[in-house]
This record gives sequence, C-alpha cells and structure tokens, in this order.
Amino acid sequence: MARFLLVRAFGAVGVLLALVTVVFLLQTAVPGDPVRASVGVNASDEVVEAERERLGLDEPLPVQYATYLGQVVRGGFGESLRTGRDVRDDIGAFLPATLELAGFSMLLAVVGGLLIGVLAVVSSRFATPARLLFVGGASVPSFLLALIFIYIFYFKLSWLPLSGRTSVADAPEAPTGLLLLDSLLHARPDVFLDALRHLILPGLALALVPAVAIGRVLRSSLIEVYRSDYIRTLHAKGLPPRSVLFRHALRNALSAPLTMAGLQLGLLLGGVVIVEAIFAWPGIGLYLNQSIAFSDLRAIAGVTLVVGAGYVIVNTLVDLAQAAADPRIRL
Amino acid sequence: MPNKIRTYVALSLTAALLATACSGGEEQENQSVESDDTLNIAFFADMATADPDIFYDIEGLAVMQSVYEGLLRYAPGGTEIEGELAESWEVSEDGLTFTFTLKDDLTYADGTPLDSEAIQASFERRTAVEQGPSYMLAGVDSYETPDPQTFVVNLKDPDVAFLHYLASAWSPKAINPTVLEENSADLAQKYLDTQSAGSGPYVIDEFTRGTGYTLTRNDNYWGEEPHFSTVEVAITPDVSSQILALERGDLELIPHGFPLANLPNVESNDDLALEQFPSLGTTSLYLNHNKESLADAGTREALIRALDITSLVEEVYGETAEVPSNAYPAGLLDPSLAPVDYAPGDSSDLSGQGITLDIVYTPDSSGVQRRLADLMRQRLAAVGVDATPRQAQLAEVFGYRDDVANAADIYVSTPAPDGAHPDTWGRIVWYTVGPLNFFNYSNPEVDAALDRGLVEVDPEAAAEDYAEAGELATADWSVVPIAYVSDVVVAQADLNGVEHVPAYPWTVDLAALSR
Repeated sequence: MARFLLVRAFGAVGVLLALVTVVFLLQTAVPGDPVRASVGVNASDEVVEAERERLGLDEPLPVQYATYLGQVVRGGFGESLRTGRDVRDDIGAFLPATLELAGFSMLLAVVGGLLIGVLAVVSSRFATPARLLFVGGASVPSFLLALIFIYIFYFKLSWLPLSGRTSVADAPEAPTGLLLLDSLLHARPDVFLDALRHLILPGLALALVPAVAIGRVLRSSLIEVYRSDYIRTLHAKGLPPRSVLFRHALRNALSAPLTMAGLQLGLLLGGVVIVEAIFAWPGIGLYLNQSIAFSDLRAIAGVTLVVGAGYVIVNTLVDLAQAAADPRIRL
Repeated sequence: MPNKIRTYVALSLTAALLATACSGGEEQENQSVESDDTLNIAFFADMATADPDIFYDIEGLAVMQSVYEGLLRYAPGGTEIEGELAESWEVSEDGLTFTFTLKDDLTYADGTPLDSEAIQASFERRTAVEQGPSYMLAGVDSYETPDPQTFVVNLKDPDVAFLHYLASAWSPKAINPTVLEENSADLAQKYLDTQSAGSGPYVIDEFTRGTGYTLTRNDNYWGEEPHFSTVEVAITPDVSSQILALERGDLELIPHGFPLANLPNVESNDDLALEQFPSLGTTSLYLNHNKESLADAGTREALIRALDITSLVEEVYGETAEVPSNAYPAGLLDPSLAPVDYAPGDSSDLSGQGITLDIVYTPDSSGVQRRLADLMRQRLAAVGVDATPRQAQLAEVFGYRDDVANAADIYVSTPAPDGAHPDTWGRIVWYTVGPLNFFNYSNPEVDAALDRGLVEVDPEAAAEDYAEAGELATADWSVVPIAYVSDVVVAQADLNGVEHVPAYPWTVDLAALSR
C-alpha cells in the first residue's frame, strides 16, 4: 500500500509538471494581447507596457517559465488579469462551491447508478425502462438537461430556485465554504434546506449522465458475476437472493463501476463549466467561463492545474476503493 | 435494522425531501413579492473591480454610476453635458483653464463633506493609479482649490474633448478622502476593490464575486432619494436563465444582451415592456488593408457596396439599428458633415480576383455579430468572394496591431467611444496609434485634422476639422461604420423611470427607477 501511494505520488508530480508545462506553453502560444484587453481599450501604450512589466510578461520565455513554475510550487498561480488578485485566492473563493456541487452530483450519480444497475438485473419489470434510460440518458448533454429542469421545476412548477447557492442573506460562509456543512456547523437548518434546494437542479443535471454510465457498467458486471459458478452454488445452497446480491455478487461486481465513477468525475468536472454558467453557480466553472471570455490565461491555467490535481487524487482514491472492494486486487 | 424501521426511515427521508421542494415553492412565491423595495437585476459577468480608477468595462457601469459621481454627466437621452457635482463651470478663452463651482452641501455616504480638495485628491489618485481610464487626465498641468467650492483644472494644451471626459461614464469620480487617507499605503486599491467610497445614491453593501452585489440606499445622499432601498445584482451568465427569471418576475429588467429573435415574444407579453434607446455603439467593419487582397481602396469599397449595407443592417438588427448618416457615431457631429454613402454598386470586378477572406467577430450574448458575419459571408459568396466567419476572443483582436500581416481580413466590432465628442471616436479608430485602430490604419492627413480639431477652441472650426478627418477616413474604406445600434432594455411593465444616456452603454439609471 505504502509503495503504491509513493509511486502514485511521484506519478502525480510528473503529470502535474507536464500539465504546468503544457499550460504555460499554451499561454504563450495563444495569439493576442490579453494585457491590452485587461487594462481597457483606451489605455495609453505607456499604461499597457507598465502593466506588462509589472506582470513580468516582458521577460524572456524561459524566465517567465521559471517564475511560473516557482509560483506553482509555492502554491500560487500568478495574478489574474481580470480580477487583479492572486489566482490562488480566486480559486480558493470559488472552489468550495464546485466541490459541493461535484460531491453532491457524484453522490447522486453513484446512488442512482447503483440503483439503476441493480434494478436492471434483478427486476424484470425494470429491464425495459432501464434499457431506454441507458440509451436516452447517455445521449442527453448536461446543458440540455439543465435547461429542461429549469423550465419544468423553476419556470413552470416554481418548486426549485433558478440560480445561486442560497437565497438566505446571512448564510454562513465559513469555516469550510461548503454551505451544507457550514449550515450544519452553525446549526442553521434553514440555510441547509435552502442550500439543498439550490443544489438539486444543477446536481441532477450533472448527475444523470454519470449515473447512467455507472448503471450500465454495473449491470454488465453483475450479469457476468451472476453467471459464475459460486453464485449458482450460493443459490443452490438456498441463500436468499438478497443476500446473494448484497453480500457476494455486488461486491465482486463493483470494480468496473468504480473505475467508471472515477472517469465520470473527470467528465463531470468538464460539464461543470457549462452547468455552473447556466445556474449561475459561483464555482470554478463559472470562474473559468468568465476567465476564458477575458483571455485571462493565468486564471485558466490555475483552474486547469487544480482540476488536473483533483483528477489524479480521485483516481488514486478509486484504485484504493477498488482494492477494498475486491480482495483479488493487490496494490 | 429491522425491515419496518428501515421502511419508516426511508419514508421519512422521502417526505423530508418532498417537503423541502414544496416548501421551497411557497418560499419562492414569497420571494417574488418579498419586497416592493428591492430591485433585482442581473449581470452577465462579474465586475473586474469596483475601483472607479481601475474599472474600465461596460458590464458593471450601472453599479459604478449608482455609487460614484463625477463633476459632470450627460443629460438623459442626449449628449448635452450637465453638472453632476458641479453647479456650473467656465472654460477660459484659451481653452486651458476649467473652473468648476461645486453644488452646495455635498457629502459622501458616510457624511464626510465633499469639497474641492476632496475632488483634487480623487483626480490625483486616478493619475497615480495609472490604469486604463487615467488617460483622461494625461493632459492636466495642475489643479487649484481657491475655496472649498471651487475646483480649477489647468491643462498643458487645449483639449476640446476634456469636458466630455469629465462627463464620460468612466470619468474621474469623487472618492471619499477619509478612505483614501486611511488606506494610503496602496492608494486604497484593496479597499476600493470591493467596497464603495462615493457620494452617489447607493453604497455597495455586499460584493461577492461570482454571486452578485447588494447596493443599499445612501441615507446621506445629498440629492433625491431613490425609490428602491436595495438593489440586488445577480451574476447570471446565461441569457436564457435571465429571460426565464424576467418572465417569472424574479428580475426587473435586462439592460442589454437580449436576443433580438426573442423580441417579438416581449411585444406580445403584457407583463413586459420593451424600450429602445439610441447609443453611441456603432457596428463597424475593419478591413485589413495590409493584406494583399484588401490593399486597394477600390476593392474595399466594392466589397462594402456588395454587402448592400442598408438591407444587411435591416435584416440583422430589424428596428434596433440604423445605417449611419456620417462617419461618426450618432450625435457626435452634425449629420450633414462627413456623410457616408453605401449604395450598392457594381461588384463584378470582385468575382474574378479569387479573393478569400476570414471575417472575425467577438462574442456577444445576443449573437448579433455572429449573425452579421454569417450574412456577410452569404452576400460576398454571391459576388465570388469566399469568406469564412470565425469567432475570436478580445485578447486575440488586441494582438492584431503587432502582427497585421497574420491578422484577420475583416473584423466586425461594435465599439463605443468614451464620450460624446468626435475626437473620442476619431482618435481611437483612425488615429495612427489609436487603441481601436486594429489594423494600423494610417493617414497623416486624418491625424493632422484630428490634431487641429483637438486644440481648436472655436466649435465651428473644430467641427470642420473633424468633418475633414471623417471624410478622409471614409474615402479610405478601412474602418467602415455600418450601424448605429440601439440599446434594447426589456423590463417589467410596471417599472417606471427607465432612463438611459447614449454615452453610457448598457446602463440605466438605477436611482431613477420606480414601481
């Protein structure tokens, strides 16, 4: 286990270093003058040059790269052209909202995926709807789901709010930045329920596609496990079907869905950019969206690196979870 | 866990979730009628900053105009300058000295008196901060404050556009000297990034990036009290979400970016009102004369005439824009001066030249520039010109000046000048080093005419200089204004007092609104 974690840590450093390099090269390769765009159309050339110098963008590329690498190692990403603040601080402000949304969506996706996958195998009545869901759910993009959900649950039914994380003016913002958790820590059930209501639509919009993918893989995996000799033996010995499923078959069928869940989290983070924009969810997706419009490359690079690091960590956790679920896997 | 208990737990959880959703419905209904005292609006994007000496954007102007005031402003609906903090002003005969008399009993939001020394400190801060809008005071030689109500600005050289800079949306604003003194280490930049220190009818109560801003009424406001005690600004990047919120009554108005294709729905909706205001925004085609295919002015003219500008503008904008009368944005110069003529002409010469063009446009929420570029492609194809529209980010476009040979062939843009004076247009789009002169257009005669106009204190003689600059630039067919674009505001029908100034794009006066 320790060796596995060590190897993974070294691998992660390599991946992130490669990512930093690619991101830096992209920053320099993208045509244009983001400094001019940031200081404003009528700013004098002197102002533009002074700003370029202040940001170190007048230095030779190797110097800029070394500076950037140094900043990243120290946990910084440079100054945002758009907000004028350190990108690290900006990401720190926006990241909790995304973590909360992504966590909630993954929870829905995993629970939903397990439910769909299991029902598709054990319930003959659910087999046809499950097949429809597998085809339909996989082909509907999250932004379309978002718009459909908004139209039905906000506009037509008035059940759920359109945007933002909460409507409560004095909602707690600390200590974690995760509103659900902070509201519980501050004993504010009103904020908790309100935050939950705000999470439902963007969470569902993000969760449906991963849930279907997880469910589909789990179904295939379960069918294969059910065909194995030891399951037949368990049935023959008279073990109740529920025990066979939950104690034996499901555990051995979880490896592939867990891998899929890890992959889906990466895709989900990609979908966050659009879904956060539609729901005005103040996370790094929204931050990235605004930064792209502004060609704020340092902000874009910072978000890319944070998401990349998150992806590496999640996949390591998935490997650990797989090993825990399936004793045949050795780390 | 026994089965019964598990069933109860499951049922309880389901009931709790349902209750959450349903109770939310009631709560949401309540929010719509929550307070007649709150104005809800939305921005497509965050403000980069709330610092009036750094802020140089359009989204967010409504907030800045509500919390800060300058010496002058434009009267609603036109280009006439009126006093904001200044009661009156005089300009010396040589055009070098501007003397402003402040209104009586002016105060900042915290009650600090607003006098001429405070104005001087604010003007000096703008120069010291040295960001985008600092160019407006680049020509200042010195300031004088002979008494608390008199503020004098001495220029190094005459500048006929100076009063317009002071009336501009991004003009130097009066900033509370107490805040400047208490935060002098960084020129109060950190403080003013998210907080206000102005004298306007509102103050910034909350500034949360990515989420929105709350403005509350300035209880010490020296002028007329605004109707709404609170203004909630929500960051809502998606226009569809904004429209649904407006139709549901959760938003009071959408001040810009409303898709033109959706306007008929507004007209048929009794709960909504559509208002259209003239603006200085002028859609223009920049033709890259550095490219071989566009090097000849005759070819550029033939291309423009092949587009049939009148019908193009009508098809893209409908009634929300009109073809320019002259080379300047609407209202900057007498329409009879520097006239433009885009009558369709003989374009048969174009077909044999094998011209291929890329047409670049920058994104806008209403999608109108993409539509324009698409239609241009169709019309140019009809005369044998192969054009390809492409979207680009603003930063790419600002890099064109450094590499015009590899820049786009045609750039579609809708710039607006900072003020309602012809110099604020000519100097940015035609002048050799103009910041919006994307393809380095250069005509020494145009530069000379603009320079003469800037220092000419006789208004009629100055107008002739600007007319000459406009005529010369028009004849070169490098920067071609094709549409005077209106600002389209969609609001709740019961919202009154929607006031707009052509020189303040995408902005309505929040303090003038009532219900």
